[in-house]
Amino acid sequence: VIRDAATFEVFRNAVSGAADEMAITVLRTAHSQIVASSMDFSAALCDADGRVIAQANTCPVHLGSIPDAMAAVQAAFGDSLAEGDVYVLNDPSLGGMHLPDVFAVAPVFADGALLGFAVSVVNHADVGGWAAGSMAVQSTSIFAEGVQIPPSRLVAAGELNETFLNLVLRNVREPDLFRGDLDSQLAACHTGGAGLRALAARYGRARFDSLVDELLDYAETLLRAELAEAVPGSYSFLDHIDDDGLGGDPIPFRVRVTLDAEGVEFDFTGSSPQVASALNATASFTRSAAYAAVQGLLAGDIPANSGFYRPFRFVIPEGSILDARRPAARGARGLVAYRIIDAVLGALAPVFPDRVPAAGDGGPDSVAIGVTGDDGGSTVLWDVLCGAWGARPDRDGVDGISPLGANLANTPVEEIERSGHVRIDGYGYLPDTGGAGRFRGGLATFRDMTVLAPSATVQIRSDRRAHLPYGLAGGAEGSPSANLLNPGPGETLLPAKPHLTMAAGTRHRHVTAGGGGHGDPLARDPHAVAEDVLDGKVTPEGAARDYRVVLTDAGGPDLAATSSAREAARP
Amino acid sequence: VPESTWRIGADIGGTFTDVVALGPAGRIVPMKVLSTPPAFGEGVVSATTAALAEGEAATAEVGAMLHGTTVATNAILERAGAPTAVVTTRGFRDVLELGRLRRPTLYDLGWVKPAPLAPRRHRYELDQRIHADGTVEPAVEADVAAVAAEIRAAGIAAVAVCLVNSHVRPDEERRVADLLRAALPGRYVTASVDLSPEMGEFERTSTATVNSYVGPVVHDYLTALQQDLRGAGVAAPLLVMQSGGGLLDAAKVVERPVQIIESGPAAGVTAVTRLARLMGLAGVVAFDMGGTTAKASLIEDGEPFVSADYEVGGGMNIARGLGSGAGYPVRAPSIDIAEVGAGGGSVITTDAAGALHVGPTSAGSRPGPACYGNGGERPTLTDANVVLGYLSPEALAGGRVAIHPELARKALGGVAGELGTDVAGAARGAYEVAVSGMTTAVKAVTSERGRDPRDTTMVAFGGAGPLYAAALARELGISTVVVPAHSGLFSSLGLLVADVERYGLAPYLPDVDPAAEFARLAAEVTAELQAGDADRAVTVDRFVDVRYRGQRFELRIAVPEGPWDAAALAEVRRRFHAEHRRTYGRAGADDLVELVTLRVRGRVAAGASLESVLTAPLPEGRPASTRTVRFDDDREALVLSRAALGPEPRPGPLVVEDMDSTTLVPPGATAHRDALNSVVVRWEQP
Repeated sequence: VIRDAATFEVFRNAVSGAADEMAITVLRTAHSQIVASSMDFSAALCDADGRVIAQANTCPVHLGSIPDAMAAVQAAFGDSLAEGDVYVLNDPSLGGMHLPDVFAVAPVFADGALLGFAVSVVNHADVGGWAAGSMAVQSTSIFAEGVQIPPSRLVAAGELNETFLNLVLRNVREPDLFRGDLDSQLAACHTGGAGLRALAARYGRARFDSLVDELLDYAETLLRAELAEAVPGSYSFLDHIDDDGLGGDPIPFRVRVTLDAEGVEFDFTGSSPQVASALNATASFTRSAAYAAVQGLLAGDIPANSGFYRPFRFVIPEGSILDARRPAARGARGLVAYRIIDAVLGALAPVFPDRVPAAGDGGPDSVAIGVTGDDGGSTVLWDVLCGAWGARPDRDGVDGISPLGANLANTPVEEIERSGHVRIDGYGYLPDTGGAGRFRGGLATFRDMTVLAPSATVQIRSDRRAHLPYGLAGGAEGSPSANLLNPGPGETLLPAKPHLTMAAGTRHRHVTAGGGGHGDPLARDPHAVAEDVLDGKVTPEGAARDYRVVLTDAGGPDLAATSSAREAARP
Repeated sequence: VPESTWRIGADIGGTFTDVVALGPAGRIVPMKVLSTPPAFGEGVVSATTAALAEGEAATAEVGAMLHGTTVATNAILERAGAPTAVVTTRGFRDVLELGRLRRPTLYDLGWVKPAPLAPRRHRYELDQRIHADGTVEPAVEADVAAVAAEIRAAGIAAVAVCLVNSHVRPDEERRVADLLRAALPGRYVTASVDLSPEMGEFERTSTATVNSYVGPVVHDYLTALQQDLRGAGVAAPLLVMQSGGGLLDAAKVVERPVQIIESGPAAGVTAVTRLARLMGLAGVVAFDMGGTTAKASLIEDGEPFVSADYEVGGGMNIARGLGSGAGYPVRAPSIDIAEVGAGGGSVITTDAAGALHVGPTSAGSRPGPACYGNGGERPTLTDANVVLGYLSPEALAGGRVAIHPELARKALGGVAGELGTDVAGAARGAYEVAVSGMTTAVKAVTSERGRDPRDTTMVAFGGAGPLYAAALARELGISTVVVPAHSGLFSSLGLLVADVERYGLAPYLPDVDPAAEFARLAAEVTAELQAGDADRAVTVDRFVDVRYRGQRFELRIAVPEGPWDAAALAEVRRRFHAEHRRTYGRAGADDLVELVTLRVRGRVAAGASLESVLTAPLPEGRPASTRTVRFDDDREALVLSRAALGPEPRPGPLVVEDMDSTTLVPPGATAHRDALNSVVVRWEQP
């Protein structure tokens, strides 16, 4: 496939460097906390056919969605794309995912011919709608979620459509931030376009096109080589989201993964129909999640381009939570991706038993705090709470980490407090929350806050309270998530996905789920348990109950007593 | 420092200790010895004594002892720092371990998070709170005493204090730190605000923890080294290179060891900075390539770019912000250096789909490249360079390292077979791939900052830099490459020519007068730099870190001369908009401008003249010869010494061999030697 190894590798470096440069442009110039701090954005370069050539090292669950956005732009404007144009969209039915994710697509021309596209995706802090942050679970229609942008020509041959932009800005809560972040996207597209043109100039158009073909074939070849190691067959798994936030039933995610000579098929038949609340995904997002699960499993350096996608086949029922019909609400659909990843990895655990970890916390929980000022303007504080990864087949899970499907950062306590609207009273681990196993699951994280503003609307998306993160190979489940109002005596347990108004002085504790364990807890090295006790990650009671480890007064394991206790505990 | 005395630059690495002695009239005596861990001072003393003996001088004639060291970095990489405790606000003991939740690789379910330098059992909480509005619920002294008792009982040597919001009320944190110091004599105590008075509890805690973790190690190391030097008759004070450039007295370094973590790389960039000033070059890319990595940094108008933070212990530093989470963040001034895993020892491989890769695995110094004959079998870039004829097929380093070209060819045979090419074709492919990887590092410090590399001159140094510089420059459209004399020793030379510098910083707070803060900081650094000699001339530069509201990255803006007033503020804002436009292609609204940190840098001119070092007579070297060198095809190239290269440009292909490095001049480029004895390589049509 590769005609000249040195030329190919030089091209590969250059094209992935150009995509990274786009992401760096967004990162360094974005204004909103969610982009600059949480890094919820992505960037990619495509060829003239809309195939993804390279993607930056950013947000995994965005990455597979770019072909759909490209297709929507081409369907709407394919005949009239011009140099200096930039198209934007966020409509989930027309290439988008959920309304806060705004795509910017810039066609790139060289010598008068279409060369490719530079694409950036940014999760904006707010795109209007009834709830601050535009991601409320309780939305029941997309018309309540914010401004819907079908594929639209925002910039025509270098000329910004101010009328259009002003209309959008008037419909969002923090227009300065929206404008600043959108400008970052445009700057990134500019950077990416320059990178693509430089490559075409260097290699000539014909060689550029053949190198793109080689690059896509290369990814496909590497992926097929990895898949060839798996035992062919069909593997099923069932996982759940607890509820839709409106009092509905558990939401099933059923997947059957089939590995065969053609590649790998993901059949989601039997998963939930679309739900009444905003947990509905698009097919593009569902595919993104499946790709991310496989990438994580392979842990390799396979370029995430359109060639990587070729061995995949999908059966995604239309009208399901995985591919909902308009006017379904979508704002909180991120959770769907995390559960798809859990289900896909669960299905693949028997195929790759030495690679698949137990389930993690089930996705970052989000807490959006909205405060309306005297002037009618609004501030949105968006806090991401990530807990843990599940235990791996050969080592413990990770404490305090963003899940595989995202690579988000938390917001510093001091940055949140600077607003004056809330105080954070504590942030840390909770003991005995990681699923017990030969390898322990990661610990749950808590975050305590007190509202200082006279009144704040608080919107939380969490899960994994009833359907816990699974363990593998005899490992225990991770602990459940929780939302506690005024924790302590007389506390109230709130639902997992509440939306409520809190007055000044109201206290709240959020607890993420803990990660699942891997392997038999009675096979865990007693020294590792003793170390966890010394660090307060496992209590002495937990050590006795979950691991049957007896500790000496000095804090070390009493190996003889532990051995007897474990013997007695075995069935 | 009188002209007649000797200056010693000592750079200690894990394997070798390099000493460069600079005598009267720019005479340079290099000396390389094996490092002597853990008693590193022995190696320094023996190398210094040997170098002076060769220069026919006595240790009493040493006027300045200048040092670059990896001791702090190694303490972290080898997890050999002091047992360290963290003391923080109730509810926040896990801040250090939670970090920012990000990981450096997107798709690696086997990833292991770096273990915290202070384990959870040694992180203590106090019932106290500094609120965001500046009100304080102070810690009770009895509680601090109780924590001190626990720390004492746990046998802990170092303590980092970081309270939530201490950047708003540094006094409360300093009070707690002072109470702990009083209760824990002999322990090393750091208050986070003394290093980083800025918002961000995790980064501040991490900085303080790193400082405390390496503090006792650095203290012991520098104390022992000073004793050894005094024992050998060296009375001169010991100065250490800081990550941000500039030397600092060892006693001061012990208070803030976090500032010397990137000591080694900073020295080389300092030397290039001096060269850029001597040559009057506005934009310079410093390109340094050694055995395992290639590094690039940008020097503009005679000043390197200095970043406010970086990660230590996380492997390659590409200075871009996308890959955070691999190491321990540190907020300390550091010359902004982008690094990629391409060095002479980088291993050449192919993958399952037939693509060719270079690095990041390195053959290291043992066994090293196959052609060294030390048992290495994996092909490295050095092997490729021998096969291509770029490096001498007989010996390197003036005859100290014998070369076995047949072993290089053998090692590359496997890769050539995989690629279906001949051995030289595979070697040339690896050379080109390495060049392309290094463009990433240069772009990270130029085009990603809005600087066009074509507007710069490249200065190449390090053992392997001059072999790749011309090709790298062509790839980036840079027309001129300068390879200075002693380019293989340039990092050590940087020690000899550096100034003494001291940094100070304070957060910009709306209710504090910046003019008074600047005056206070200037007075502090001046007093420290004038300790022992009140007549010493100190230059103070002022800077402000500025961003638009909500941004995560600041730009450092120089404050104009004169008083801090409305006009100065307006000028800072104007410069910020302009710099932002230059860097990112656009500027934001004026009402979004946010001043974040006030910074001062005090400087005492102390360095030796780089000019006299470079213009000292060159060794004659070996007589000129020719050998076959492979580019797109085989060419006969003239091989000559630097001394034999004259002021008239000669066309490539040429190979210029020095004692400590080799400069490759490809066909299409010319080379001549300038008045500073640098080899200047020019591309006719870049």
